[in-house]
This record gives sequence, C-alpha cells and structure tokens, in this order.
Amino acid sequence: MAGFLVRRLVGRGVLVVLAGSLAYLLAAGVLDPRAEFEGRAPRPPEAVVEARLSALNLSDRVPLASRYRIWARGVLHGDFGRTQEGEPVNAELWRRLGVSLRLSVPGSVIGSVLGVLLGAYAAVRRGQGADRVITAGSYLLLAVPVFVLAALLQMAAATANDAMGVRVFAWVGESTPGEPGAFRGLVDQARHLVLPTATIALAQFALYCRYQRGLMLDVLHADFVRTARARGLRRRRALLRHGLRTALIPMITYFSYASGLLVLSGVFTEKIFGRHGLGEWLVDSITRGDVNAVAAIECAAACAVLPAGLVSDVLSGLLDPRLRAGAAA
Amino acid sequence: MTVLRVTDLEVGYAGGARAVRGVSVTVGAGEVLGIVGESGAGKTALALAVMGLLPGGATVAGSVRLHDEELVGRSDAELSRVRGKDLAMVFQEPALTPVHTVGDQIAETVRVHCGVTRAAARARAAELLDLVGIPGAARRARAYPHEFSGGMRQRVMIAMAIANEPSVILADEPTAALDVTVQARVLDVLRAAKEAVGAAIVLITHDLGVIAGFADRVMVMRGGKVVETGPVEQIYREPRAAYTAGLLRSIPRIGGADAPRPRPERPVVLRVDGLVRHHPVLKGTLVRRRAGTVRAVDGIGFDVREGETLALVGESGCGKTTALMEILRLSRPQEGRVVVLGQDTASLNAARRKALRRDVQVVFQDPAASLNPRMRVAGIVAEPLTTHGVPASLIKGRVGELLEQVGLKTEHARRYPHELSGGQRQRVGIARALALEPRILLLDEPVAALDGSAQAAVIALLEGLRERLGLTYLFVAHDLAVVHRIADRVAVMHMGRIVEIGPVGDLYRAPAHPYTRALLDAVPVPDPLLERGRRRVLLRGDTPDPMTPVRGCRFRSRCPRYPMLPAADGRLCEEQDPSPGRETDRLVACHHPLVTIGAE
Repeated sequence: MAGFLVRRLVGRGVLVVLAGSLAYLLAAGVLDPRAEFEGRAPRPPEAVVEARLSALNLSDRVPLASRYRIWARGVLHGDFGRTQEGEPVNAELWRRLGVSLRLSVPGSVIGSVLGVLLGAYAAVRRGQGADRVITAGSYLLLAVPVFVLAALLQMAAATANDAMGVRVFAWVGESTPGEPGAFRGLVDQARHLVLPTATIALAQFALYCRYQRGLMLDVLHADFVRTARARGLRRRRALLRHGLRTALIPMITYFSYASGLLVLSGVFTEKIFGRHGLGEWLVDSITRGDVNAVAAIECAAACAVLPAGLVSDVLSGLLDPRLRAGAAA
Repeated sequence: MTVLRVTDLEVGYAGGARAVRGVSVTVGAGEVLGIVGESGAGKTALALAVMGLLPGGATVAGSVRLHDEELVGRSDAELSRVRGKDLAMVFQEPALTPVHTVGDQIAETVRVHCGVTRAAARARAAELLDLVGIPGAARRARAYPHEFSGGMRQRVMIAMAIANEPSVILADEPTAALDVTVQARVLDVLRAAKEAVGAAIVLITHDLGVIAGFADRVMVMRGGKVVETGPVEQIYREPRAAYTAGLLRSIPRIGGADAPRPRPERPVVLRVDGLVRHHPVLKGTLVRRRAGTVRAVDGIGFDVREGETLALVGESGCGKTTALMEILRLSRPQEGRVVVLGQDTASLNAARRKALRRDVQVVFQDPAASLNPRMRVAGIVAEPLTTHGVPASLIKGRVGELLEQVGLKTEHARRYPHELSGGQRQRVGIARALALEPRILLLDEPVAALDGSAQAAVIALLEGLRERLGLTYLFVAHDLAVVHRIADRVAVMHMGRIVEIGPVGDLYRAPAHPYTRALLDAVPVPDPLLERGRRRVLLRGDTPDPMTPVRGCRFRSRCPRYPMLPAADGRLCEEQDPSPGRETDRLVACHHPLVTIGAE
C-alpha cells in the first residue's frame, strides 16, 4: 500500500504545482495593484508608485512571464514575496492558517460525526418520527445561508447571555483583549470559538446527514445485513457492525476533500465573527489587488488538497479491503 | 421427534399481497424436508417468517414452534438468541459483509451465542472452514469475501449455519446461483455438514432434480398454499395433485429416445475459425501497464448450418458469452475469422455491417434488464424497425404480427415491462429479435432466469419459431437438460477453448472428454431412485485463474482421469496442449479421450 500512496502523492504534487502556477498567473494577469497605489490620498508620484511596484514584483510594465519567474523562484525557496504593505506574506499566511484551522477542524469534525450518526439513525427509523424531525432539520439548515445562520446564532446567544445575566457566549474576534492568565486566556478563547464552530458544524451536519441517510438506506435491506441477523445478531448490532461500516466507505472521499477545502470555505463565518483567517484575507486581498497574497492563499488551498487526498486514500483502504486488493494489484 | 412445527401460518406483505396462506408443516429431527414450487409460491416468505426476518410491514399470523417454543410474536432480542444458534439459514445469494474477513464473520457467529474467547472462536472458525472443504482453512479465514468464488462463499455460509450446531437449517435455493458442477459439491458439503451436527434441513428450491437426490419428504407449494406433502419417492412416482404431475412433466430431462439424426446437407450460415478474444488486465493509476491477460476466448472454431441449433455450454467464466458477443460485433476479431452468411466480418464496411445486422439478432439472459423499463412493449418491439428505416405506416401492423408470433396478446403492446411476468418479458425480447426477420438468432441463456413451466413454454416457442421461420440458433446455456432438448449439436467450452463438439445424442450418450462427462454427471436427475443410485465423477477444485498461463492441458488440474494415468501418458498432458483434431462433425481436445472418436 505504501508504494501506491507514494505514487498517488507524486501525482497530486504535480497537480498542486500546476494549480499554484495557474493561480499566480490569473491573479497577476487580472488584479490591478497599480490602481490601489494610485488611489491613495495624497496620490503618490508616478515614479514612486512604479518603484514600489517593481520592488514588490507587482509592476504590470514587467512582462508576466518574468514576474512569474521571479515569483516561482521565490516560492521554490519557500518565500511567497511581500504584501502590498511590504510585510512578508509567509508570516501572515502561517498566522492566518492557524486561525482558520482552529476554527474549521473542530467544526467539521463535529459536523461530520453528528451528521453521519444522525443520518444513519434517520435511515434506520425511516418514515418514523425521528426520521422526519432529522430530515426536516437538515433541510432547514441546507436552505439557510451561512451568514443568516450565524446571525441567528448570535441573536440566540445574546438572548441567552441576557437571560443568564452572565456573558457565557462571546463571538467577536478570537479572544477578549487583555484577558489575564494562561488558563483564563484559554477558556476565553474556547468561549469565543463556540458560536463560529457551531455555525460551521451545523452547515456541515446538514450535508453529511443527507448523504449518510441515503447511503444507509441502500444497505438497510442488503443481503449481508440479513445474513448477519440470521446468524443471531440483533438488528442494531447488525446495522452498526455490518451496515454502517459498509455505508461509510463512499462518505470518506467526500469527507476528506470537503475538509481539505474547508480552510478557505470558512470565509463567511470568519467575516461575521471577526476572525482574521485565510478566507477573510483572500477576499480582502482580492479587493485590494494584492497579487502575492492571493497567489499564496491559493497555493495553500491547493496544498491542503494534498493531505486530504492522502487521508482519503488511507481511510478508504482501511475501511474497504477490496480497495486494498486493488491497490496491491 | 418433531423439532419444528408450523401451524396455519399466514404471511401478508405491506401491499396487501398474501404470500403464505395457512401453511402447516412439521420437520422431524435430522430429517430433510424439500419445499418446491415456482416463484411466487411463498417458499421464501415461509422461510423468512420462520426466521422472523420478514421485511418491515409484513404481518404474520399462526404459529411456529421450535422445540415446542413459540417463535411468532417474539421480540428481536429474544429471536436473535435463537437465530444462528438453534435455527440457521443459508440464503440463495451467499451474501457476506464485504468489509470483514470470512474468519471474523464465522467467529462472530460463534461468539454472539456463547461466551468463548476471541482466540477460541477463531480456531473454531478455521475448523468449520475445514469441515466445509475450504483448502488451507486457517490461512483462508483471514481472506475477505471478494477473494472467494461464489461456490466457496456459499460454503462459508454453510459453515456459519452449522457453527452453533443448530437443530434446523433452512436453505433457500442454496445452489440456484451456482454452476452445476459447483452445485453438486455444495450439496455434498451441505449433506456432510448435516451429518456432522445432526441438524434437520428444510431445502427450498425450484429444481426438482436437487430435491430428488436430497430430501426425505417433499412439500409442493403453489400460491402460498400447500399442494401436497409426502415421501420423496411417492411424490415423484405417483403424485396425487395434478399440479405436481405438471411440474414434474415440465422438467427438461436428459435421456429418452433420440434417434441419431444425420447432419442436414444445408449451407453453412455461420463459421468461426480460431476466434480469439483476450482482455488485458491493467494496473497502476498514473501510468497504466499491462499486468496480465485474461484469455476469455482462446482460439475456438465451429460452423452452424442453416436451420441447425448449436449450443455452447460450460461453467460461468468459460468464455461462452464472450464468444457470442464477439460474433455479434460483426467486426474484425483480435485473431481468427468470423464468417456470417458467407461474408467475412473483417471485410465489412459500416453500411454492409448494418445491413448484415438485420440477419443476426440476439436475445439476452435477463429479460428484466434487457428491456428499457420506460418504454412500452410496442415501442420496444418497434425500435429495430424504426432504426432500420421501416416506414411508420407499416410498423404498427408488424408489431401486432410479432406479438402474436411469440404468443402475446395485442393488449400487451400497451404495457410496460414491469407489468409482465418473466416469461412474457422474454417473449418480448424474442419478438424484438425477430422484428427484422433475421436468419440467425444468438441466444444468451434465454431461459436461465425463468421458472420451470415458463422455461418449458419459452423453449417450445423457440422450437416452433425455428421450424416456421427456418431460423438458425447459436444457443449459449449452462443447463445441460435444456440444451439436450433444443440443440442439434453441442460445443463444450472450458477456459476459452472448445474441448468437445458433436451431435447432441452422441455427446450425451458417450462423452469423450472427461470434462463433458463431469458436467453431465453433475446434473441432478429428477428421480429419487436413479439420483441416489448413480455413481458420479465430480471435478476437483474450481476453475483455475484465467490469468495464469498453463503449460499443457488446461483441464489437467481438475481432470479426474489425469491422476490415474500412467506416468508416460500423463506427461503428454503436462507438455502438450491438446487441440481438437481435423474438422469433422465430432471433435475432442483430449490426449486420452473416454471414447474413441471417428470409429463409428
């Protein structure tokens, strides 16, 4: 299996290089950093703007190919260049990546686990009360846009805070400024995470729930589940051990790639809850015309697909012996 | 002593259908009760009701008592203590969970019922696999279901069924999905397993041949009711019910009077020479490379004369359907030649190929899958006509004519395939094939998916059409009894080769190839006395992996004759691939045939 994984990894590596290059070329070709500099007040002299742009490798008077060459050489040395403000992109990228991961990882894990469990449960109770409640809930969540959901959660939290008289929930930023002490700081951070995590988890939950319910319905009447029951397993055990395990396999691919892309897709949540993550940065950089930052974020997103694919391969291989055999062949 | 007593059992399905209507039956300790009947007779519903495994929404009334304990109306938790412990079931499809090893699933069956350690359960699993004849049981216990053939999976199911030494095993069509050679061995395993644990068996099947050799008593069911019950000899010798007598009459039998018919001196309409179809097996994801070759069809040759029926027979995977599809393609084969109605298919251009397609039509095995579920019967039958540009004004009349020809009524034209029975659907498939007035019909297992009486009716229809329309059939089948009835000549295939070919009477009376002999021996005879009395030569092992090239005779590893040969004779089998001799009407590809060909 190791050889198979290495081959897949190399194949995806090639794709990441291609995706990153295309992202840079597109950003450099379309965005207009010069307009941003010229729009400043007081308007800087032409020569100053040009000098600044050249220093940042952003000048549209330099041919695209040579700008790409300079950028690519930098990336090969692990340097994504500087932002328009002259700050190194790398430092900002790492910081914001951390912010995004702290938000999206718990959200997506909670959302997918809950979605899978409740989806499977709804399938087993098909047509009964529990199924209807879960189905209606997930449809409602799917129909509500993320920013509406976030606003609703904020309103609910504010009401709860008022009712209890204590500020249990907080949602602006990552932490309350000036919260003293290492432990209290940690608690404060966790408190700030609750609402944005819930937003992401609920959105993910709805999707997973629908998918898993459909997959589980397929195996509910599968012959091998009936065989398991004929051997003396109770319905619940037969469904968990034999049904759910089999019905999980198709979910793995979706789970892995969706998680890989989650780094960027948290953009609404980050904006609304004032968390300065990658998604927020991407939107801001595009509006500013910050080519280097946009390219760096796109590269990071493309790279995220790499481990996601790896996770998908490993998990599928673990869950499905038929794939293992296919990989060995 | 009665172990299982079913009294006035009623089963209703959610839609209001009454699957079982007042069935009472008893099973004695160690007895084998055969339940026969056509599909829809309520056999499976009866078995599932006894197990308490009916789908949701089904209702059960009446009583099922196992060792005088009532099972109807018990909770899932209570029933699960009985299921797999005292009452086990083997299903038609050997459906094992794909993601757990075979050993784990058997061990689970043991552990669910008695609190033995994991290691002890695993050892017991290996023991059981050995008992059902899986070679290298301890090693194979760690394999996954997809690494087993269908016959081996069914043996695993039997191993699970006897794991806790039950007093009753319900076997629902346990061999219907298997080849006839494998069926014989799985039945032997079931018999041995029964002896080992002393269980009673309820064997449900539509195959009266299987019952004849296996059951002590027989219960005949129809429409959810019991038609009659009695000792197996009595049911076969002097059935009381007219329905049973009809059922027995409808079985195609091997044997009977067949006068040797000389081959008609008619023109050859289909000639195949050295036909080859190899499938490359690829591996790798980014760079695909060839890892091996499956020699699906590996140099076969035969000819079919006008009005004649040639049957291709063999186990699944022997290449008979692939050969049929290669002929149907009407284009240049990988190697060899296909000549249809005097035209070499390699030399055809697109227009002439399309014209030739009118003359060569096909009927598929599964009528449910080969008819578009969203088209009405009239549309399905008319489709070939529209494709070949028959004017719309003529089509309606022609469709009516075709439906009448295959024994359907005009009212059927407006129906959808799912509103028809299996036999009616296959008639639609035949009507579609006849639409363009073909001269050659390729039939791929046309009756394999049908019940006894429907099977007999469709065969009679095919025979009648052949006479009336002067058709030539190339008939692919695995059921040797069906072939015996319809074919003039038979070609036996094994691993992509024809091992024996000849007139049906000669070949069945005196098979020359050991493989043909074994195939014929494996067919159960629907007569209890004959079936129990006869000596059979069974094949060893499964079909070898088609990817590994074999030096010498490909049949050697399974051949019952090869181990008995003197060393010098055996060497010939190891070193030389036997090829059928020069073309005559009767050929055999064996170094040591059972009868000498050409002496007659």
